[in-house]
Amino acid sequence: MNATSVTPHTYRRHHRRDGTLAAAQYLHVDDLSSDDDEESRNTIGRVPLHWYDEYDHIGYDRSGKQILKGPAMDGVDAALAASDDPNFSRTVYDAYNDRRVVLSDRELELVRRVQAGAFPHPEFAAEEDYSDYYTSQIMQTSLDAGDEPKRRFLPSKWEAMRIFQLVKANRPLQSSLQAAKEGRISLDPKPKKSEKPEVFEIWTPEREAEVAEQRVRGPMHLPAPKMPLPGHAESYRPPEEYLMTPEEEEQWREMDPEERPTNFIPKRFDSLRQASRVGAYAGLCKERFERCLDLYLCPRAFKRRLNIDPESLVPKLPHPRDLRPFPNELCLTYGVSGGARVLCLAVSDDGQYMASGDEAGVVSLWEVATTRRLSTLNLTKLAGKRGGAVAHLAWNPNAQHHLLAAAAGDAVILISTGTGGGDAGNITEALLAAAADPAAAQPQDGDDDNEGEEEEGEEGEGEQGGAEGEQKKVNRGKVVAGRWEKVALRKGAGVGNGHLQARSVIRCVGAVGWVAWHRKGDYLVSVVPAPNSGAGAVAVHQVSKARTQAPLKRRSKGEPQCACFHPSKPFLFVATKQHVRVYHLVKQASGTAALVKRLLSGCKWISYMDIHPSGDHVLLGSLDRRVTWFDMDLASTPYRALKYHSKAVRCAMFHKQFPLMASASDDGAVHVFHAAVYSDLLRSPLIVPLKILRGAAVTGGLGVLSLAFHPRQPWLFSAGADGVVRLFQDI
Amino acid sequence: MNASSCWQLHTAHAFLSRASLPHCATPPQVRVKFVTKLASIRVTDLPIAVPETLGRYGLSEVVNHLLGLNADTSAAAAAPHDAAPPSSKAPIPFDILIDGRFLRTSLARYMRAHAVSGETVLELEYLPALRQPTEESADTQPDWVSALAACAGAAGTGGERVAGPFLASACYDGCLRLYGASGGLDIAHSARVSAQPLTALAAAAGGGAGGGDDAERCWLLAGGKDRGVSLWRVSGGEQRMLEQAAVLSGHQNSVAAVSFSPAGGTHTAASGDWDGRMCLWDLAAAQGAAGADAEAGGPGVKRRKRAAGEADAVVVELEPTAVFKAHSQAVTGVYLAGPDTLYTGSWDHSLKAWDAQRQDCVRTMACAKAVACMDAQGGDDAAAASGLLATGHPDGRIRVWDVRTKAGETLTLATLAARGGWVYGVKWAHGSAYNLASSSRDGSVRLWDIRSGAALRTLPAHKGAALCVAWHAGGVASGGDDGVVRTFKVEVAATVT
Repeated sequence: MNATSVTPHTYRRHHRRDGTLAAAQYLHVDDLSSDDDEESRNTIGRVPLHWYDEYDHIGYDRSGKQILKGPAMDGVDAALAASDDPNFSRTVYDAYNDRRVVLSDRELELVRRVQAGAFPHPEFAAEEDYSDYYTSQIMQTSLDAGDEPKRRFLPSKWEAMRIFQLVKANRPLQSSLQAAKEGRISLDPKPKKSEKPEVFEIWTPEREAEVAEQRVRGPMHLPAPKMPLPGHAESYRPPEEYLMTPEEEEQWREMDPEERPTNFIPKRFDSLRQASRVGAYAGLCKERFERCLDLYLCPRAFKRRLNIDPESLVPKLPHPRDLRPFPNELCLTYGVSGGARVLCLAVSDDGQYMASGDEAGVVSLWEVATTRRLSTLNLTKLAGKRGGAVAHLAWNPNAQHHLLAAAAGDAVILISTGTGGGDAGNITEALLAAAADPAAAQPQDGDDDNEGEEEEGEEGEGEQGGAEGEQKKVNRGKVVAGRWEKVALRKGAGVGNGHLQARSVIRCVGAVGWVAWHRKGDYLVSVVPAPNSGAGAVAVHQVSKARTQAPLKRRSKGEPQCACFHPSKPFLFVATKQHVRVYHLVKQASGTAALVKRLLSGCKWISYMDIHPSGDHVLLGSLDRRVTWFDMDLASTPYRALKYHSKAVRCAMFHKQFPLMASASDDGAVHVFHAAVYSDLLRSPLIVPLKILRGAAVTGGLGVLSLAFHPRQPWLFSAGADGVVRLFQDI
Repeated sequence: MNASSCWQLHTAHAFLSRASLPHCATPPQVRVKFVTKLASIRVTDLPIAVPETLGRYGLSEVVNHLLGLNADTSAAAAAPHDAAPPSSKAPIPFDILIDGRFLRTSLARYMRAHAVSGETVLELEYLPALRQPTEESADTQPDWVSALAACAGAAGTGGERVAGPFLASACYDGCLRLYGASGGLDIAHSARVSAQPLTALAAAAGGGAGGGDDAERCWLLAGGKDRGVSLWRVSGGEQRMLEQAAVLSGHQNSVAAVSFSPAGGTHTAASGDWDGRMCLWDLAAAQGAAGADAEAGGPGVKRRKRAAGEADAVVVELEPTAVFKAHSQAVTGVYLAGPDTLYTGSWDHSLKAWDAQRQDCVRTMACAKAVACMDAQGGDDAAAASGLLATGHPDGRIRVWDVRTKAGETLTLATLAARGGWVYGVKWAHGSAYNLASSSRDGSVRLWDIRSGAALRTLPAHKGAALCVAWHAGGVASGGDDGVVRTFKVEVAATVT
């Protein structure tokens, strides 16, 4: 252990070489021990030992016994020990505990290192061998994972956040308050400024106070309207086109100053430097003055502009493709172009046949599927003096009655279609029995009265009684609204032979323009639209008894155009030129049917009327291009007045089964609508335009004259002025 | 790959590069395998690589080449009308079926559309293409021809065909006309049925009660606007005769469709009218009446003598065995598949399957459009019937229904867009599971394969509307509103169903 003045480096190298370093590391026990752990027997605490010099003990052990001092080692003992004890040189005296401690090699080494001012532990490498990780030499493969990450080159996000916080905290009061509220910074509590003055009139209402305050502040500031910005014409060098020609200049000068488009004549200078020529604007002062005068004299007001999205005003309607089926394509045509104008159409109940009536007085029966003309019947001879055009056709709605009613000239003509046989044929024959021989069927007046009274008892039963109820009027009023005439049958005529056959003619007071059946197929109503036709203008005919009644007053207002029975109740709808009147056929007022309701259409001339199968909606077409929808439950004014045709509307009708509606016009177009009505009274009908069907040629200013829906399919027949009937289908 | 197929591959390549390929860089190729159901024209079933730009024409050329037929392109394109057996070395134009559908684009397009990998071997079925039919003969009638019915004829006792084959037409003048068997349309016999138009006609063979004389007869069922249905006997060998056998009265409205039950024993029949009513008839009394006059008929059978001149002809008045309301609108299609299975189609947008015994609706198949006409695959031959129905519609489409599918499965097998307006008639080809003929509003007769989306052939047959169509021996016949009955010679490859 004489290694003293060596550098730690050489020392450690030495020790590493001879193995002592490893040994010392192995002996590394002092790390586990400490003064606290070492059992110190003396319990006197940290008091100076000289306090015990006078005693023969130096303290107390744990059990409280005195620790006696050993015999003091004098020089002789020391000399002896030095010679005898090999460990003498490394033995030290522990006066505190009065014992001798032999120091180990490691402890000696520690002592030595402490004395040398080195790190006490020999294994501590104060100066490790430098291993050169980052050299100037470029390695083949990189030592660490990869490139520097991008964030090393970017400003720190967290620093930015921190800076933002600090900036926010340093904002003026308003934001500081906010910050304080959020707990980011704390502020000195400040007394809150009270908004209201400390003294105020407690009895003045708040609103008045505000008004008063307003009065003090004066009216609201209204900015002056801006002057228009100068244009090219005002430039000192306007383009050529802005300059006036001499003629224009002359014209300008002659104009009244109020009417001039500009109050100056544009002039052109080559450059602004020619100041003497450009000069100042001469009218400046005058203009400014007038502007001030305008601002001063004209009261200004804020104009509140409605900021409404135009899209939001358009009603949200379902798309037509969701409302199929509806007729959308021309499928079949009946007849050839250039024939007589087809004025009216009627379709049989099963949808097998279609009948058309034309201007020449011919009624044709068509097979729907094949477009074959099965039979024709000329009505000109039966129609009377007033020309033979078939104005209107109606197919009997009762499937057992194969009967057509045609309005031609001044007659209503009952035509058996010949399509029914067997039982249906017999039923039709039975219905026509009285009409075929009206002279025999007309009973005496007395019988009539009796019958009328008998019927009276049934009137309460509803619809059937409704139509019959008005028999009395005929007897009392002695109105001759219709005269039944017998028709000579064609040879070999029968009900089921497939031929049209006129069976009975009812002469009316004038040219008949409209005919419509009652739902049960026994009664039909005819209308003579001519003015001054009196009570006979609207006549109700009963086929089974060959009788005619006039339910309306002798002098009813307006000229009736159309009339329809209510589909389920004893009501009669009569459309005059401008109004629709609804009569109750059972209730009587002074011998005629009682007026129940009056619908104000707003039309000038109603041309067509149809009743919805529910009976609650009325559709009108008018010659002043309108289609008008009435909801009977809603009001006596139209629910909707649709004006989309460019010419007179000739026909407007509902489908009997599908929620469809169509209107036809002289412009040659047929408009098809989805027309859904709901049993829910709170829900108004839905009308969605679906399709415009074209195809009819406009001839002689007339387009489509009549429409008919197929009773079972979503198909539509249209009859044009070109003499062709078209069938539109859903494809 | 053995040597022969290598050779074939090589020659196919050589052929292709020579004949039909554009002179650009070699297009990508795809391996295909040609199969067919016809043994006479079978080629190797080894995969062959062909350019994927080939369409039907190119593939047809390849098959012709493999068959060793003269691949003269001009001859193949001309598609000669006369039949060309393989031995004659004339090329046959082929149609290519891929995955059960006709190939109408190039292979590349097909593979792109169906996301088929280029490495798979495509199986191409080929069959001789339907050639353009040739008009055979025409006959002009005094009025519109509303219905046609053809019958293959009945087998006589000696094996020879005694009655038939024949073609019968119903006309708007109320007459029934019977045409002879041979190609020409010469009227063998005509009979006036009614003063009103006839609209429905059906024909059936055999059906005699006790064999012998009756088995040699064929039968016609005609219905029309006069609400009556009448049964007619087609008799005789050389001298064809129409004899009225029975009057079937029970309808209250125009009869729109009639049908016989499949052959075998006596017939039953079904008819539908415009009220949506169905009448079922048992024809045993009428069909047996000719021979066994003395026997009393069943209930509802009345007998009446004909006019004095034909004292021996007995006309039986029949009443329906069952009347029931089948549809809410006109019944326009009736098919009696067996003694107790009935299919009806109607204007009320539905097809219904019925248990005819109980008059019970077994199944309702909703249709998007009204049914204008209906025909069943197999027709009166019960064995050939596969349960496919074809319906024509006013919107110009033909829908093919598979009635064998269970409830909830797709019923319409195919929708064929004829684009000729209202489809008035549709008929399945005899003995073919796939071929149809239809007649349209525009006067054309279209020939279809239900595996092809478009019509195979369109024949301009009539000036006005073509109201009816029928398959008869060796071709198709149609009648129209120009009063003409026209026949065309059509060769349909008989396919195994």
